Amino acid sequence: MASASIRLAFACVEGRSHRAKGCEDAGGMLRIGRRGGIIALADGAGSAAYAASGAATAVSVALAVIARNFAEIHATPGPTLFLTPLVEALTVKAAELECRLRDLACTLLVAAAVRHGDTVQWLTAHIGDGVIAADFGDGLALLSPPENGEFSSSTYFVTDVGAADHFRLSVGIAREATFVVMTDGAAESLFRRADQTLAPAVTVMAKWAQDVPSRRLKSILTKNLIEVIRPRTMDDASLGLLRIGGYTDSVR
Amino acid sequence: MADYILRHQELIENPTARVPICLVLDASASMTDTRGHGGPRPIDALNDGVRGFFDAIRADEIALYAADVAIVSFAGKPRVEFEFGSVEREPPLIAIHDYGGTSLGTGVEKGIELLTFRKNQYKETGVDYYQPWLVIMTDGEPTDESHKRVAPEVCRLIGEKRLTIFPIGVGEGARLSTLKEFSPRRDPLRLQGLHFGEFFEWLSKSVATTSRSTPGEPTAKLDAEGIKGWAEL
Repeated sequence: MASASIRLAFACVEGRSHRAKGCEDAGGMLRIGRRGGIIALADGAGSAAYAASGAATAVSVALAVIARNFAEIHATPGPTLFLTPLVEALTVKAAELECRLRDLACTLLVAAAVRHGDTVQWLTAHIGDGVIAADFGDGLALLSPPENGEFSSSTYFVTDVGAADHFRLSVGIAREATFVVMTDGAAESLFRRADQTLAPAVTVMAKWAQDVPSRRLKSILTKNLIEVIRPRTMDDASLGLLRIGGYTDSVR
Repeated sequence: MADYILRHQELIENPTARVPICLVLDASASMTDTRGHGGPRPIDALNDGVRGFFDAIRADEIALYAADVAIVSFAGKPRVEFEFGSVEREPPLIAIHDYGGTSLGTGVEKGIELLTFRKNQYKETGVDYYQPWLVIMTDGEPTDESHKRVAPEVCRLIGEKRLTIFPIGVGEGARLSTLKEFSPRRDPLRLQGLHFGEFFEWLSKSVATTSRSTPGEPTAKLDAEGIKGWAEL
């Protein structure tokens, strides 16, 4: 049976200022049958007592919600289908940890795509900082920029009362789709804030998603995060790659 | 064979997010009064403290590029001693003003003006910044009513979480109730003796902490324990 060419990988590394408390970024990925995939990254808020748990829960729920409801979300995009189960899961986790919901605060970045015949249906979901870039066959471009408040240390989180107002959901159809997803620690070196432009390195990584088998991509991303990205930031840093190409006779 | 390692020239250099800090410092004639104790004059201890502040920030690799400092002194009128910029420059030597009086309000007003102008420069040049800090130090009570005009604006900025203020009284003559008019959320503190050095060391550590903070962390996360080293509590 023919399968879509799917490349999926992510990596997270702990920041230099987070050695004591551990990495508060989380990442996850999931295949959608033989024709699609999902990448999710989350960055726990610095002030949140259980930031790492919040980020891990958000990623886990995001993957499950999209895997289950991709078609519905793509057809009728809106925050409710996504945010409601997310906040419910975090509320349960907060009860389990005997903490407040805001102690699990995190940002969230998701990219998902499924091939149907000659086309690829895709969607992205984003709240907070971090960046999502995409190439739909005509060159890599910024798809979802970071959203910060006035000050450097302020952004928006899935646990915020007004989260729905800052939840950005994009959907589309293309011939192919490649996504590069990053939390703000990685974006420090890969995204110029002043003019909202992507570093050439992001195009390089998108090319890796075309050329390199999934089984090698994670180690490549991890190596780059450790050797190239982490020395340039104090923050945790995460990268995710998702590519849905043409049909192939085997899944790589 | 491809090595799949990103090259330096393929990356972006974003400017360091700035921590803008304006020091508004009393330079009225009373700052030469040793109060009969025979020790250093308050103005000399203040200058030593400011120099120590600059030295401490220069010694921190992150704070050095993040700290963006301006200094305003005031007596009867305000005087800009140090325009916003890096602490790699030499700190000014703050001298007692020739003009008499203690116009606290106009000093603070000048500080707010400098902070506002600096924020606009950041926005125009795409430089990220943390919530601005305003440090007020005075050893007496105002000799005019300008603080009554200026304090509501400062309180508004604090209420909108667009400013953090550190109101500090120096010596027994400082009227903390007047400083409180500028600070609806944080009670003014009185410096222990002339412990300017300890205060500025604490301030430099606070800058270093803030410059390392990540989204979601509270702005101006203060070392409450460290305050005991310089404040009368």
